Amino acid sequence: MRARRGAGTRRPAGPALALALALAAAPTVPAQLPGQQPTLPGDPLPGLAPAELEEFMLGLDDFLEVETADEGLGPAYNGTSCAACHIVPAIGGIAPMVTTRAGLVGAAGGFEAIEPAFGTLFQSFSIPPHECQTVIPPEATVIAARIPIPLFGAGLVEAIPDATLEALADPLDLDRDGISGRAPLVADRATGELRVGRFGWKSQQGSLMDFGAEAYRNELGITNALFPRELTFRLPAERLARCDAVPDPEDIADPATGRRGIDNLAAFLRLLAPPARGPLSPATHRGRQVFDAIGCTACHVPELATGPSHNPAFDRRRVPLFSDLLLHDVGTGDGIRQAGAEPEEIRTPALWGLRFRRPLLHDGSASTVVEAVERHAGEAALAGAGFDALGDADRQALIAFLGSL
Amino acid sequence: MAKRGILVCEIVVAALLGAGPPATGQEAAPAGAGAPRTGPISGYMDFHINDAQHADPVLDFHRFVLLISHRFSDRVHFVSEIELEHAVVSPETEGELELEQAYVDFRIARPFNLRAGMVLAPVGIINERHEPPVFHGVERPLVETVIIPTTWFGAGAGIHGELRGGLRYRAYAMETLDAARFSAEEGLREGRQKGAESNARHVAGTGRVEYVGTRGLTLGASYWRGRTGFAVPRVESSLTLTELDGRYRVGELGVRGLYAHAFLDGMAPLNRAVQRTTGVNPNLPREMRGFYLEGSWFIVPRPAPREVAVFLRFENLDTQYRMPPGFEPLPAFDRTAWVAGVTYFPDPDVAVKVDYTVVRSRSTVVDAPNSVNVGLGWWF
Repeated sequence: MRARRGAGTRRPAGPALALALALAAAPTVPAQLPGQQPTLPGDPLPGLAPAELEEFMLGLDDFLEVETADEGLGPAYNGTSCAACHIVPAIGGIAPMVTTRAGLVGAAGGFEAIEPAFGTLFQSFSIPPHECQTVIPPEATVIAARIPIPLFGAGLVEAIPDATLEALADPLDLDRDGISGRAPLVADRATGELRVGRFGWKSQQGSLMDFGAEAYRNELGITNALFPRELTFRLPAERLARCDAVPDPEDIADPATGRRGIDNLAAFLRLLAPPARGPLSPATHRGRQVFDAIGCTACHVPELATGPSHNPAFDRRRVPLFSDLLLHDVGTGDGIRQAGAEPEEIRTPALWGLRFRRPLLHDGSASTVVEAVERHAGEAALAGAGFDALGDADRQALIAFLGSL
Repeated sequence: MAKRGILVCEIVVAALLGAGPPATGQEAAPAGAGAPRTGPISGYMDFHINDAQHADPVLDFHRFVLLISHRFSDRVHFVSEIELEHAVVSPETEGELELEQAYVDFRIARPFNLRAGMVLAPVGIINERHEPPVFHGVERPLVETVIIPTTWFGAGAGIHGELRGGLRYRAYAMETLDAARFSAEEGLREGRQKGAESNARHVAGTGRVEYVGTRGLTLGASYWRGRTGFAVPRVESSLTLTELDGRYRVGELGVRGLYAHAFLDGMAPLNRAVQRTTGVNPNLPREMRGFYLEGSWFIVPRPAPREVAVFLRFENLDTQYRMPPGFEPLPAFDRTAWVAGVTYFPDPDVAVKVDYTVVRSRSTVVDAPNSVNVGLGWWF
């Protein structure tokens, strides 16, 4: 959370006005057709074309598929399927799984990867006989845990224009509100272009194709067209050859569809519906007012909007995600520098679907909403102070509101 | 009490619907097949080579079937059919060992007989007569695999007989299907309980009436109805399956056709319930339907042996023909198939088959593979 902006510290009106106008014109997602059931977690976006529904189903199959070594799993991995880490409360959600990253504090006092070519992810498992198990070396001085992020509504997040996020960013805190959200540009391997990062705890990816392809290689060990080499740490080539008999890239196109696994995964993520809102009550309405009043909305922006699209499912849709998708230092950073994110920065997590998520914070170290809120500091210090100052009724209303997301 | 009343009604309805031919091994063999088998042991086998696009060819000893029968007396007969599919039964293979028939017939009079045990559902053309020499094509018609889940068998009891004017009937009360295992890909097929500790909360009624009073002509109508909801708590569902078929052989020409339509109730809550428990919405429809038409020509004149027939079959089936409100059909499940091939009978009881199968769907995403299939089947 971050402090509510004062009247005298507003940002330039242009982008904000454009955003406001876009929001006013945009339909809220998920739209519900007459006679249609409410969207359940794990549903596709409503109103998709038949071909898109088929792409969603193909992606769902791949998302659920339990991989084996002869299909490319490993040699080191964190899960044998995507769903292993994204299953609660439905496929695409989260799981009480933790991945581990590590690095060290270098001579200059800043974070460094132990081997820059390897990165910071140390997978937890390996295929038998475990000759290629990654092990965090003794020189590591920074070890961080991360939990999965729910993927519901990811396609809408992808469709939010860069300009929207850049308009929200204030990296130098020019408005002097104490909040300095950054919109990092990351290279998109799929297109070769730079995009504002928005996926991952460090905003390390800007597109779902990139996000899915990297996860396919990093978390399952399945190399693909975008990430064609195994992630190995201090592994002699001959030992890797013994562990990894499947030629790279291991993800190849299915002749029946002409589509690769990463195509299917990207389609599934893109077409996965956002979580529908939970039941509302007078308490949740009051809680929303408290949420605004103490400044939570400065980072947890209630609603963004997608840009123009030829696809009606993504064309100027409201995206009520309760996040600005920017990098902030709210005192919960994991000490890892990754992509464009500094060690102390974490991307504002979206709060839609919060009622389905436990534990909280990037490392799962908070078991309740109250605990997570109380851990906010840094840029969110003022909002945290506002929360501490709440009376019991307002605090309960705020908790009820958060429980309705 | 209400449930028992429904059960009794279903049995009565089934009984009123009619009966039909004795099961495998007892019906007069159709064209191309030999004399009825009379020994205590008979059987059939089915060996395939399937070469489908986008995949390696497959050699498969698809079916090895033994039928064992016994006459306790002139009035009490026992018939059984044990099938080994795909040669090996193990956790690593697709093989299955199934008891497809095991019933006792109590022969009372030509128009009225009793049957009880493991019976074949009297639905469609192939289900009760599925030996390789009695149908063209290496694989059974898609409609009679997906919408009529051949071989459809289960525990049951009922009546059958032959009436005047070439009419015969079968009517059974039998175990129901499990709707939680239906799917758009395989239709009703996986819903069979196969008499393996089958859930008997609900009992289905099924019946078939056939007209065989004109030489070369067989006309049939089948019906199956049952409540199918028991695997998912608090979700009620039911299935009504209707079917019409006809076969006609005149000279060297043969034609056959079949239309099947399934009506499924309670699929919306079932879809949601399954999605909540498994994470995947099975997207079950409220209606499935399919039909096929087949023409054949015996190009080497009869009489047997060594007949050669060419055939062409067109199939269309849609396992998401009508969807419950709020659920969308996928084009991939609206399928057509053209099957063209040759059946050579070196002996009336042996069939060598070759066909080329083209399957298409309305999908622009998934390409259904064409295949070349070779089969060797025989019965004795």
